[in-house]
Amino acid sequence: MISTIIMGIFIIIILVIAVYYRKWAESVESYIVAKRAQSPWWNGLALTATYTSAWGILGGPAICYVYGIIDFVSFIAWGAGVFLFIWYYIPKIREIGAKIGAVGLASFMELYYGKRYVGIIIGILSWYALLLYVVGQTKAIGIIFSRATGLDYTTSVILGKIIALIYLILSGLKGVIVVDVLMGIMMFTIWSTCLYLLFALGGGNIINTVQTINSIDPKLLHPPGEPYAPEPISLWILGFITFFMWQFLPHTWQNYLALRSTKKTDIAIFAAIGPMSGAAAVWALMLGTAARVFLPYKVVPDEVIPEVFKYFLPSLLPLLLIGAFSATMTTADSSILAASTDLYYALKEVVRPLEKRIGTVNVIRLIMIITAILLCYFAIFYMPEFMVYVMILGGLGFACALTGATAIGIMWGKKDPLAAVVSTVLSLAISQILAVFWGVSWLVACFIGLILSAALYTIIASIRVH
Amino acid sequence: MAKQKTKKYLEHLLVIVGNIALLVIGIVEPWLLIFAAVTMWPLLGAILYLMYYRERE
Repeated sequence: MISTIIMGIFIIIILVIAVYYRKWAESVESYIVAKRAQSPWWNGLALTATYTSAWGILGGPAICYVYGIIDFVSFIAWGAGVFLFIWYYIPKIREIGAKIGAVGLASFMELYYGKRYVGIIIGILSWYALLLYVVGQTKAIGIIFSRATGLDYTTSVILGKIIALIYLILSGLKGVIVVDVLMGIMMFTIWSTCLYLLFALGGGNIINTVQTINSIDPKLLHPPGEPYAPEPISLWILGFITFFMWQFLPHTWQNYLALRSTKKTDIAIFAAIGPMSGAAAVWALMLGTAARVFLPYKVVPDEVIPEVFKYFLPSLLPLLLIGAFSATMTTADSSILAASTDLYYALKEVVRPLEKRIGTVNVIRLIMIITAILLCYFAIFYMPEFMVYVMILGGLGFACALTGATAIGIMWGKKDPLAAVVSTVLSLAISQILAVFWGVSWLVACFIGLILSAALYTIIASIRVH
Repeated sequence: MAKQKTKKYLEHLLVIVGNIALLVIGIVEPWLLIFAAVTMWPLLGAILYLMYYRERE
């Protein structure tokens, strides 16, 4: 009952924000990149919430619950990756993006490389990758919403999507940023509670918690390798390199392009806030591991954190549900916005008659609705067991495949549209085949994709561009 | 001019070495990093902010 009331109030606040910022939907530039005038504080907090998905509160702790503390590597390696990325790449992306008038990954690629086919191919791939990525999120929204309100899973999936669609459709990126900041605060509250629980489990001393876990199975804390990489050290190196690329995922490009300036002081604020969610999410992962020792009964991995709260802090369960709901919504909303914008760019010629009749913003809104319906369908009928696998295949796989076209293409200065497309398509295909059919662990598969993409771009561009 | 160059070197040193140092701490003692990470990254950002504070216009 309390959960339903709190969730209701939370949703009403979101809807008020959406209505308040509805005027931001007047033009494409204002709707998709919020007039390129967002302060690094707001944008940074929103980005932090966007970066951390359901993985930070449900998926990651689930992996830790089953395999030990292994997953925390990814979050810390990722934090360093975020900082370096923000410092070296965002000023470039923001500056070039404003100059060429880009509003997302596909349009950036098309205008930067100067060929229409780049926009078409990257746009469709981006939509496909984000769809895979968000199916996991949609499942998470369903689980959390049904726990909070008592509704069944199917209804919860649909209702969760409708709420996201309302503020996406009404206010675009500006609404997403404001809602994400609000939700980000909820997420930090949850992570802090996880830290408190880690202390509490050891009787007020976190070292006791560690020692208790260690005395049962030391391997829980020191990664034995499975299921990600053969050796812990390779996990650290692979994690760092692949998670550097994570920031090139299309759903965050809008935030980069929306930044108000590229002054070093603004970038410093952005970089200071960016990695914090990764660091704070580690507390939830640790709690997932601790649950293996401290929780007296076995639970479904993806629901381990809700179960811990239910057992040790039942009064804070509604808060956790809102935090987890926030974590999934913040990623899902930006992803739907980015996927729809990119698909619109890929299909510009096809939707032109419709665009003339109802306007560009409405076409993007229509694509958002279709994407959301597809997401609900997959989340209801093809529910993945571990949400993390599907998310990573779509998200990190695509981000790594983009290495040639983004990390190298932007830094190097040698622009070759053919190299950009070939490197992305081939490396995405190979990394997915390796992971799905050959059973290569996903981190290694993504790393192979990353190396392949970088090599292909460098070789093809060196031959073709003089 | 020389001062600008020194500043640039210092910036790269802070950003690259600072982040790699955080990673190394994480490999050696993960528990230390849990607390270091949420304070270290904002701290790194704050130092860089102050370095360029006068040039912000």
